[in-house]
Amino acid sequence: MSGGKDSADASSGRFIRRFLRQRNAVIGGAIVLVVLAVAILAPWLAPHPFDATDLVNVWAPPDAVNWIGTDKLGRDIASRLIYGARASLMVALSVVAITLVLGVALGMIAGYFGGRTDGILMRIVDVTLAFPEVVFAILVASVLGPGMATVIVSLALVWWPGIARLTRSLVLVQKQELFVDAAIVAGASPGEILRRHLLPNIIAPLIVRASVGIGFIIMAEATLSFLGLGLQEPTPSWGSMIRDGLPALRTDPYLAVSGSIVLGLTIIGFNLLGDGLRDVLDPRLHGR
Amino acid sequence: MFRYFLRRLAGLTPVLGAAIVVTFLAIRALPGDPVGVMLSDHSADVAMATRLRAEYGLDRPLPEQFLRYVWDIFTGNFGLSFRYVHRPVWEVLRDSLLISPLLALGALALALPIGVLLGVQAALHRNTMRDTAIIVSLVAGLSIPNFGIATFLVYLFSVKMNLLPVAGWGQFKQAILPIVVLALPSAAYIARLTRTFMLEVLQQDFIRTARAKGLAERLVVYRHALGNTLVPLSTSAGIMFGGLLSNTVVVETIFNIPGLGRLAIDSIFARDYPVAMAVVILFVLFYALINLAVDLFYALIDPRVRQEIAA
Amino acid sequence: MSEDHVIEDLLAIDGLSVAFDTETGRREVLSDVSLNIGRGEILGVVGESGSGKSVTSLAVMGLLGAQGQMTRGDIRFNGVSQRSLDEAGLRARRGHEMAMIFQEPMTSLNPILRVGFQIEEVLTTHLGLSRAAARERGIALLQEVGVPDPAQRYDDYPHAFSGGMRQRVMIAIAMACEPRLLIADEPTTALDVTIQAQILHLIGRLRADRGSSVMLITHDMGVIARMADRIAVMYAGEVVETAPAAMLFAAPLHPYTQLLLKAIPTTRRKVASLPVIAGQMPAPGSVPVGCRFRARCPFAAEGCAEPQAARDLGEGRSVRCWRAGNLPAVAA
Repeated sequence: MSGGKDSADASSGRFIRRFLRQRNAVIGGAIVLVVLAVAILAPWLAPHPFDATDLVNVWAPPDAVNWIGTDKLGRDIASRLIYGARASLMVALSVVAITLVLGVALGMIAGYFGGRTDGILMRIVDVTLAFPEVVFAILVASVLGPGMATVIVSLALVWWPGIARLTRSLVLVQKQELFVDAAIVAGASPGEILRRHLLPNIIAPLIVRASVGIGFIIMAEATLSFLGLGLQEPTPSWGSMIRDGLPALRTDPYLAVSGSIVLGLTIIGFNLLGDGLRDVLDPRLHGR
Repeated sequence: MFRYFLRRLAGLTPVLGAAIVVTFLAIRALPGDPVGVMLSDHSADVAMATRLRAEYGLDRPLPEQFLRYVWDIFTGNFGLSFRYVHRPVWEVLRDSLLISPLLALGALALALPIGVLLGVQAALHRNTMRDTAIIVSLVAGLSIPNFGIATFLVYLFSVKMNLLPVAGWGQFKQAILPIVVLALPSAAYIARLTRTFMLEVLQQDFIRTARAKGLAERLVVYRHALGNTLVPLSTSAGIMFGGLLSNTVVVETIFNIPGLGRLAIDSIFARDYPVAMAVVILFVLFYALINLAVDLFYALIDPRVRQEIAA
Repeated sequence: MSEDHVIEDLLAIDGLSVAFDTETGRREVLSDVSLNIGRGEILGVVGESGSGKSVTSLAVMGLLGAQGQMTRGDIRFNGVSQRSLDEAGLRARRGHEMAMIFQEPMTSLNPILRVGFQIEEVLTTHLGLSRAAARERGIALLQEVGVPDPAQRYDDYPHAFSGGMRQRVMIAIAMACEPRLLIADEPTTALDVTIQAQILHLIGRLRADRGSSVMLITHDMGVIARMADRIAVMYAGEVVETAPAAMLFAAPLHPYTQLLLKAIPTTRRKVASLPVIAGQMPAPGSVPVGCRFRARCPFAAEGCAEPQAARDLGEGRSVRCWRAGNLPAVAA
């Protein structure tokens, strides 16, 4: 019970908060849908090809032809933003897919079989988690060189241990359940047990974790592209677009500003949606 | 307690060991011949190639190279740079060495009090307009990437208002924007955690006892509640430092600050891999030390942990 | 112990109703509660979980929080009406003239502060003692409540104490400023039976030595039988019966009280099974109009649909049942 000052404030506040939280999730969902649609329909939506240079028309302000103007090579900013959505989502979904497959598989094996396997796997997880994220980017970029592969691999390396750990604890809990014993008695192989019996029961919190994480993955991809380690020219990425736009900020702000706005809104959208999903699927996790 | 510290210090070995092994393999896994990088225009000069190979120890069998590598690192020798041929990596790093930790710790010093205060305010005035306003700004602070924020702030303070310099390093003025940009996401993260934990703590029985004793609300919050909030807060702090380190690299790039992060990125592009790998090892070390410090702090404030350690 | 109406009671709760704001609206949790505690008297408050016992104690302490409101009635402590006090006034009393101990000693102390410090807080806040003086007094208090080696343990942390010991510390904190009223909310429920006896003995001794009044809240009739001078029985947010202890046990008037007493296991008679009161107590917000015990009462009749007022029967007895005193004997 609180100190007792804002009681009338609190009840109206609580209603507003609940309404807002539901509305937030809806807003987030709407943003995500828009971004998804833009990414999928990019070739049809974009007014110009993303790599069509026009050196006569560099840093043009917005006009009828280029709705947001052009960049340093005369390319249409609007089109590049649209294709950038495609790039971001492709990377994000790849990372999520790899992380889930790898992390869930290893986590289930560690949790179900226990013993030495568990010990070894968890040690690997611990050591991986002991590395700060940025270090993976540097390592992978050194070996693979800058590019989309680097982004996907380094992000997957950063995220898989968390998923593995979560999966393992979920499996440890589910392992105690009666239906597992029943399946063993019925002669099911470990693979079947893991796949058909355990997996469906642990999938909800994993989805929550993944959805909460997508926003950060998109941010990480943009960061890496901003640093030049990510998607390379001419493939547009919001991160590298912002980087290109920064030096010209004083005179031609449209590139940097539009890139920042689009990136920020997208991440906010995914974060809101992720939070909303978490509230729905796992309300006891974060009693706000 | 001291023995605990030593034990934890020893626990860093597997992590550092992994870092050393990984960086060693990474350089050897590169496509192409490092000597080729160094030679660049003199690629036909076989004699020079052989000499460089010998100098860099690249003509030795792999296990021997590895042992030399480990030994070198322990003596602080990170090898020779590829880009600045013949120059020790250490020399290349030296000037940047303190800058990155300085930025990171400076941002932390700013983010911690701000984050905690905001979190406490949000928890105390839960469900009011103040709380909602704070939460909204936290979501924004966490969702907008730091280079987006940097763009905005640079635009506002440098371009429009001409108050602060855009980039560069050397004067105190130039450190303000970078540290602020660096501090914001960390502050948002801390505030969010503080709010959640403080709300939990405020429900606990001993808070009811404190009120029943007739203590002023301020004491209840700042002496009883806050201390107990710091406990779960410090356990969650580790994740934040990883992000802080990444952000430091970005901030150094944006503001053209000659720190380790920017050096690492430049080195990747210049294919000066020994330097990049050295930064990796340093970052891993720095991260590990910070987490160690957090664990010690955690033991400091929670007597139950101290008892467990002593056992 | 006879009721002396000339000298004012230490605590007089008069027609108190309390409501809480919840997610689903405002719920009334106390309805027309009237209780009195005389000086040096132990009042036992009995009832099931959810009957409103704890809320009553929190209302007396002024610890209802932002969600709780005193919608009707008043509480007079030492002649002062609670409605006339602001938060600062309430706070000055808390821990000083009235103190409270709670059910869960394991979690009622701040785990990261030394026990001695937590005792000192009341002394420095209310009595303005210096740290040194407070420390001295604190150690003496620990001695009084029976903590062995008090000077040593004064600087220990709560986790070094067992449950029983922690409850003693809580009592030390509560008694530090020599309160006129000690409220004990289920003080022994979480403790072993042997420790229970010790804690109750301690509370009894404090009443004897200092003349403090005690509001002892519990659902355990055995504890009540041992300690209470007078007893108030609560049900669904109402006080259904009050009586001096001996009278309550000898001749309970309210059907709920009668059934409660029947349900106590006794070693004197062999029974095939323990009698149970069928049904459930109505929750706040779903209380019926009229007698709240009606659904479970073996004597329910037409008139029970009317709202029941508490009838003062003199000699310190009151009952909230229009049929009290005229009931057929319950089957043994």
